[in-house]
Amino acid sequence: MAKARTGAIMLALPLTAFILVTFIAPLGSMFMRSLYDPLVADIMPETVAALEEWDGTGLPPEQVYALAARELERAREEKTIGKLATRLNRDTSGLRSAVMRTGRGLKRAGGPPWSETLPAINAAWGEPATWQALARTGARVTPVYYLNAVDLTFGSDGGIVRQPEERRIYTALFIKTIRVSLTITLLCLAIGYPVAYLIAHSPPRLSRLLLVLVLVPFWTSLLVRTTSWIVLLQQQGVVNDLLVRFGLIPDEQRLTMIHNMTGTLVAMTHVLLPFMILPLYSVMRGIPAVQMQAAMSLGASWPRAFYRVYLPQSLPGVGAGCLLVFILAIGYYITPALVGGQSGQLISNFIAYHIQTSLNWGLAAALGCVLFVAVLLLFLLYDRVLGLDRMKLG
Amino acid sequence: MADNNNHAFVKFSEVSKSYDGRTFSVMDFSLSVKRGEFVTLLGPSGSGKTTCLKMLAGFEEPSSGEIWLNGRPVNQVKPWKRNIGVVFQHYALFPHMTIAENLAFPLQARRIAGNEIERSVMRALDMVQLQDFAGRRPAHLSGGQQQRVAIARALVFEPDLILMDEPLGALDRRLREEMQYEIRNLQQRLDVTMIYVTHDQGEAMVLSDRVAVMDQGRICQVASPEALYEEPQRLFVANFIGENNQVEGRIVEWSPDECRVEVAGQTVRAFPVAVNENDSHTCLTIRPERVALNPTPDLYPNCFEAEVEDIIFMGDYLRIHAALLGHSQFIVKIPNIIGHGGILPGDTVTLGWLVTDCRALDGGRAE
Repeated sequence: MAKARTGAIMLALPLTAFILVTFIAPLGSMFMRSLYDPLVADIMPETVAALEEWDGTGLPPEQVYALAARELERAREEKTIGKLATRLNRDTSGLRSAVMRTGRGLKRAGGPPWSETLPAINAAWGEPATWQALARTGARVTPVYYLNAVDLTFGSDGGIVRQPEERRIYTALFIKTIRVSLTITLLCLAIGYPVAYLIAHSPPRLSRLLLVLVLVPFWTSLLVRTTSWIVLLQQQGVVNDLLVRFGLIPDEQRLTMIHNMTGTLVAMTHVLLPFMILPLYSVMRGIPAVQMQAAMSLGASWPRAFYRVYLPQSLPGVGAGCLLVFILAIGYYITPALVGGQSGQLISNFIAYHIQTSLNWGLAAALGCVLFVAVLLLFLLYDRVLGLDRMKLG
Repeated sequence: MADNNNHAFVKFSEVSKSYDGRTFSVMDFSLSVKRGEFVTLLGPSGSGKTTCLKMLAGFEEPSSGEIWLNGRPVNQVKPWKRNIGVVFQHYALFPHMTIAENLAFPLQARRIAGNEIERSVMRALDMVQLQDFAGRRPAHLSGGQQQRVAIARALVFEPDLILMDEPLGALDRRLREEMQYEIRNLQQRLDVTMIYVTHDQGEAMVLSDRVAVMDQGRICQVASPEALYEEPQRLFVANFIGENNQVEGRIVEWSPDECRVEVAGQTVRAFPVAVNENDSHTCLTIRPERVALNPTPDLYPNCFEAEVEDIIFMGDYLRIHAALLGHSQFIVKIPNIIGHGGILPGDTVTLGWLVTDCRALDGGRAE
């Protein structure tokens, strides 16, 4: 008995290790990054420590200036000053050039008193805001990325304030992402339900053919599918050509259907459709045809029989399909990136931007965690309302 | 007008059904059913009996021919306008509804008032003795109980006609027999017209006023259970209903009342049923219980020597397998009464039967 259980655990070990390495570890590391940022504290440890004594008003004492000068000089020699400049600039814009110039200027600069020398090299050192930024970013554990992820930040007095108008984008983006995902889910349901019904209740040969037609795109590369939509929907594309040919729109007013929200909606609905059809199909296949026949023989017209007998029995599939499509849509990245243009970008595209381009991994991690928690909450809500145990994936 | 009892209540007239235009599931099917009659369609699987039922219920449309219900052609009538109660093989209860909701469904579809529905549902549950189960889901009922609910649901809206498609197929033997009598009782008490489909000849015999035996989409014979057993018109019917000995031979002399058939060099006197002068080949059928063991020769025109191969003790009767007329495994059933002990395998006995019990049927050839 005990031996069998040990054996079972041993068998599950590779999978456990795999999940640990490929799923838990990266997730944990990203979660750490969203809260823990030791960069400034590592490069300028003594300055940061000294700034903790400082009351945060006015300018710090000469001793702090001296420490800062020494550590900036060392950072320049160790070539870490660039990272420092970027990090500070993220907190207060303009600090990048200030720090880089200071690094270069320190070589030629004279000696103490540093409280005069540093501001002489760059005026930023004469501003209390610079020292406040240094003190803020010096904290190793910081909620600032989460604040930024929901369009909040620290004010100059250290309190939490809203981001300036032009930098408030993430709340709106989260809402837009959820709205778009819901729209895509509903579109997939509207298109997928009749298709799944047809597949589930056609004669075997037709049913197999239809299923293959659903699966072939599913097996085709995502990139190919997405780019074919560009071919179809672009201004000189097939759809516009046909519309013009049949005189439905004038040539000079070709529709913009790609590289905007329409493109994102169309392409993502297409890409995610199989995830709706397959769970629906597997549930519908389990509903015998005699159910509808029985309902009709009992006097219910087809629509009534469908509504009272068929639809309720297909709901587990509807739930599973919608949940699957919604969760996939909310984190979708590649399709909006390719066909979304400016207006069709979703939250995941900004996460990718912060990972790849701006290198603000802390913010990317915080955005990712917010998204993760939002999906988790929806999942729990679904369980509370509809019950996960009633869901059937096949 | 059509309520007249002589009038056919259900009438199939030369109905054919083909799904692919080449092979026919049902071919030239004609059948009339009177009001209040219990008719069974009996046949092996694939004989087209369920297809007939589906066409009558409106789930399938005949490829040709016309179906009449209560004096009205119904080919173009939607299933929900036919007022036919159907009981399906696997019950087809609605799993997401309680028993009471299942029974209320046909009444709600007919827009009957709520309190009236409640009364009808309780009455129907009463009829099948399931009053205590109103609030349960079908999954929580046994097979027999589900079957009774299915029957109650088909009856609750007082339809003109009830169709049952192998309703007892999924039940165990004991329950099946019990349900047979229950169905028969209900049908007689409510005086409802019933068309019943089964492949079980015993079931058909117990339940039906008349049985239509079907094979390969065609009707072989429509008759009362007694007539089917005693006077099968076709070899298929003779073999399908009950047990029969089958002996092949060549007709040497024919008259409408009697024919002589040569079998393995000996002559058998038989009653011609489905043969005429021009046929030379025939199949003789003799019921095992109509064969007499060591009979008085002058009473039995057919008497032949046989060698006993095997004796099986069945309790109320003995089953003897014998070789005669060049056929082995010729079955004889002898009642277990005094005087029939003492026969052993290998013994030579005389077996005899009457001319009327030996029916000369078609040679089993397709038409």
